[in-house]
Amino acid sequence: MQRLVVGLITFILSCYAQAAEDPWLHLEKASQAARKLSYKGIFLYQNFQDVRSIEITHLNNGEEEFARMVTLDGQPHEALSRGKNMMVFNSNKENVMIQERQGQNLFPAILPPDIESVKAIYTLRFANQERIGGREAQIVYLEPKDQFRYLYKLWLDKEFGLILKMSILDHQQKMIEQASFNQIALFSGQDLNWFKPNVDTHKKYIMNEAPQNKISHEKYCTISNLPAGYKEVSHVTRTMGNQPQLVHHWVFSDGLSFVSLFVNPIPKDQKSRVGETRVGSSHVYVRVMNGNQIMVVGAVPQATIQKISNSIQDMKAH
Amino acid sequence: MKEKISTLLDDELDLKSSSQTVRDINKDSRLRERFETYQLIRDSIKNELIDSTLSSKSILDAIDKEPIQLKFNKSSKFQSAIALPAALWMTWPVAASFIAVLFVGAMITTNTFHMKPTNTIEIAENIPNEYIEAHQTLAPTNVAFYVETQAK
Repeated sequence: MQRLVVGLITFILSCYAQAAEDPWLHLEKASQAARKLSYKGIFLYQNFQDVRSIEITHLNNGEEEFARMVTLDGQPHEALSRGKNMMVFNSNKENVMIQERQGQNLFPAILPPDIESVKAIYTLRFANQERIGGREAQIVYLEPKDQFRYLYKLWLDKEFGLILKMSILDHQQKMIEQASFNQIALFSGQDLNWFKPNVDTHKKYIMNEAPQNKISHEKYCTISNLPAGYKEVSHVTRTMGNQPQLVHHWVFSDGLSFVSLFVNPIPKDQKSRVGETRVGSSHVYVRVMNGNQIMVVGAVPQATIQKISNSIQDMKAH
Repeated sequence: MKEKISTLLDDELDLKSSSQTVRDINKDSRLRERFETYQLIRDSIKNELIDSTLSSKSILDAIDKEPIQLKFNKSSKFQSAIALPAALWMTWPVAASFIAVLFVGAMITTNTFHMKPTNTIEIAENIPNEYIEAHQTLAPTNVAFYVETQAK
């Protein structure tokens, strides 16, 4: 009887403590867990019709983050990241293409380190619990406050906070993107023997060097009235394909999604692109303004793409 | 005397003056002719040519013969004289509609040229892979790594 009373009091106190706790702390814990824990697992990633199994190994040695992602289906494809730098290895029958990219905000580390920006544009709602990959998970919804972003449904590990599953849904509750661990395990130790690409050494290696991006400080045009929460992450100039003219490339983010804005003068002998289309989950919108081609690309609602395109003012005429 | 005849036609002479003017007109053939000319001019302005014996040619001839400048006063009679008849007003809606149709047509043509200049390509027909790849390189998203988003 005494044990029952003590158990009941403990339960009531834990419920009270949970209610008094800031719910956003759960999201902060999830953001930290994906970066600070060392784990290995396999998750299923789905984007519209494309479904891939990915093996991930992540280690934090207290100073740096190391991660290796390997696509288990289809053509061999793997990525090795150390901090913000990532090398991607794509193999085909004869060659291995090596490409340098920026690697952040990848599942399960989809939340930004500072979730304050997310608080301003999303409402957090707790739902029931489910088992994912053999672990108990708390379901939370990140519901957008406006039309400029998608809804996030997250399954957070009850013990460590790590995101075990995520679904990105549009305004009609249609699935845009989904990732879910089939199996996951934490590990200790700082061994980095696994941190190397598993590629065929008999194949020819080709460094796919993208045109160099130069950080731009030029005020090419005024960008104002962006969708709420979106901020400039980078602004570079670069060439595109075989074209000699410089293209201004801005990246905007609200902390969860990323949108690119490209602006370049249209050469006299070249036709400009216009209109809108969709490639996978990404929307593309192009228009012409003062002899410049304005292109916006991003896996965000169409309204966001158009608002960012319309945020350009005081464009240099060509 | 010209002034008097004109005033007489406008019924603005007093009774005494009117009688005297009519007597003068009857005595003088030239004045009578002038009176008739003035009457024709007035009736043509008022569109009150109800005498079927008068042809438009006679009116025009009369006006040509007598190129005097009529003074339009502000009398109520004259205001009614410049008022267009109902039948003529009815042509305005037709004309306005015609102009509106022309205007809308011109706007559509202009906008069509503006929206779709001949020197452009529809994006859906020419997907800019190089731009999508550039986005994926700088924007760290799951799609960029796990799925081939480039148009095949």
